[in-house]
Amino acid sequence: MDELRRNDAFDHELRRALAAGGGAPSGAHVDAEVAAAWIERRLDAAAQRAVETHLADCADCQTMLATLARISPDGDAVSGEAVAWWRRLRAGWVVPAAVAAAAALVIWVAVPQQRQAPESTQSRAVPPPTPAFPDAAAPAATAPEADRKAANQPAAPAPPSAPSTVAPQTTLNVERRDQRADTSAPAPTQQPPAAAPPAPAPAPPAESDKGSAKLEAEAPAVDARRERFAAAGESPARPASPSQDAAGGVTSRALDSLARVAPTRPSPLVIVAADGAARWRRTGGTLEFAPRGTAPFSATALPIAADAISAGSSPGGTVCWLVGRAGAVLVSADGLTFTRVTAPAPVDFVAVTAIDARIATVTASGGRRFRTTDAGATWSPQ
Amino acid sequence: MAEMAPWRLDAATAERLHRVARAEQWGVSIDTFTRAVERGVRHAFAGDPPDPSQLERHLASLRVEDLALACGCAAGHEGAWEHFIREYRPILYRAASALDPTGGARDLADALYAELFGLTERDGTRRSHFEYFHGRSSLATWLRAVLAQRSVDRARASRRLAPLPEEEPASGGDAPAPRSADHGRFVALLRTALVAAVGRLAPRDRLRLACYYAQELTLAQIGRTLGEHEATVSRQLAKARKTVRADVERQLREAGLNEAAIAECFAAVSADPGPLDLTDLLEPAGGKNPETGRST
Repeated sequence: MDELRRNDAFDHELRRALAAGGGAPSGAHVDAEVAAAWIERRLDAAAQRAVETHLADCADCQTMLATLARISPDGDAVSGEAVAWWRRLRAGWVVPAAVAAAAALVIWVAVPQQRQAPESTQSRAVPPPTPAFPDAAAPAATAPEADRKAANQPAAPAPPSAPSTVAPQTTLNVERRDQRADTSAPAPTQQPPAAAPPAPAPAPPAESDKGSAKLEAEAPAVDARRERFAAAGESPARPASPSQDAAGGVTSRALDSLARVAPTRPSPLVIVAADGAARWRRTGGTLEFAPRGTAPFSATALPIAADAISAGSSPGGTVCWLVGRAGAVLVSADGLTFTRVTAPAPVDFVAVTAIDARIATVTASGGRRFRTTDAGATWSPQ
Repeated sequence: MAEMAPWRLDAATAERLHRVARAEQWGVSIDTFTRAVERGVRHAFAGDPPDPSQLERHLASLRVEDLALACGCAAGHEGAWEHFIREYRPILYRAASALDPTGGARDLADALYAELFGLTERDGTRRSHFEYFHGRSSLATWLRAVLAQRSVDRARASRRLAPLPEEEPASGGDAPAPRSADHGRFVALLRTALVAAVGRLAPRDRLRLACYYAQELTLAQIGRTLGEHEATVSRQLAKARKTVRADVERQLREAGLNEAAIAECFAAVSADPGPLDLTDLLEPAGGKNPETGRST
């Protein structure tokens, strides 16, 4: 029996043994409340270990936990919004960052006096890249993972410490490319007393309006997004950086300039198809399209100015819906040519959730939502 | 059920938590909020009075703002419901959509939403499912966890009622390959050794392996669940797998098998379909992609 088949047999048996559970689980089953607290690391250390020990041997609770993991968005509730960002910093990269900063300070102080010995900084080794799973002796295990990555994984996974994305609804399908967001959410048959449309203007940030910690968590959230873009080989369309003084700080004049310019500059817009293949991005005054992850971007044909677009959604393939100001609702089947459809109302639209080329739900800035099932020919309020 | 120990939160702490939670905005009084916190403490400590340090850690870990919102919703406060509808109902329906993109889990979300509103009545008073939220996690994660639990329960219930597949009639086409006299012994030896080897792993390693092999989560999902970086998950999985395999082969050698016999053990399990694979029957709802057969 060759090694490949032996690996297959071993993996199959390992899966069978693990699915059957490791034996008599210790402690009580994990209910929804404990599972939620455990996954957010909010239990004390002893309780956290006790739950983990139970989960390790209880196939039933593992199934619940796995289901919860599948429906939790990237970098969100599971790890992000649960733990204050400074705790993650302390446990994560802040230590090496602090060491690097201290080293830089020492070098900055020492170099003017020791210009003859620069090798102390040049000899620093770059850490090797992280090795990929599994071991070389286990090719059978690598194949399923490759399949999973191709099918499920975003090109660059968010760091597990990514904090809560304080994302308005308009950027949901931009930030979470592997999430089939369905914000259409028609009201259930039983309406609560306050089922009136929500107030439009002071819409609080989604999911994590948690006081001051939220504001403090925004900075690492933005960094995490930038890292994701950078790792995917894209350059996030950041606003042009204001001029900086020699020390790297932003001057007050630059801030004033930025404040004047910012309201007129369109925000970054990147739309990723639900299957992760096609992408659209707004650069300058144009919307560009790439049919695959590695394909180059090319300009699309838009019947309106790209700056007027506020959100987009692609359910997969090359189908893409766009919405924007002044009743702008557009759809494209090939990804390149967008057709404007009749809007349900002459208002500004802030979000769209597309199911396919015919079914989509758009959200107006006032909170009203409209759904079409015939590619925009008719709309019904939700 | 008998009332738990008459433990009470002191007034200063209650006032501080109420202020931090900004519970006033949802019309939640200090008394109402204090009762909710006390209910959560009793639930977390199973009725035993917590010692001061435990209590301090517990209170510090609470999502008091979410708890205040839940209290406001449970009491029917209009502003609280508006906020919940705007911020949390989409989360609930997105989770349902992630469970089943075809909309099959929407009714679960609707039912939970109705229970949160408090359709059920007990003793003539409206009971909201929000009363079961004690602030030990974020409200969003709790909603997802409740939905996940119900989805698994429903999947199990429906599969218990599903008829078992009919046995294929024996045909003369593909006759099973003749098995050696030691086939059964080899299969049993390897499976026993494997269970023992897995049992010797640390609980976290067992859980990581189970998430990957049995639950078919991706490395990223496992990483988020366990609070580890994806690369760490990958390394630890490979390490645990290697450890288990080495342990299994060591046990087989100690049982007197030589290399050829060990190879026969692997060949035996490879040829053995085994008993009815319960994992196929108990696959979590929404867990398999119907097109690829892979986990979504």
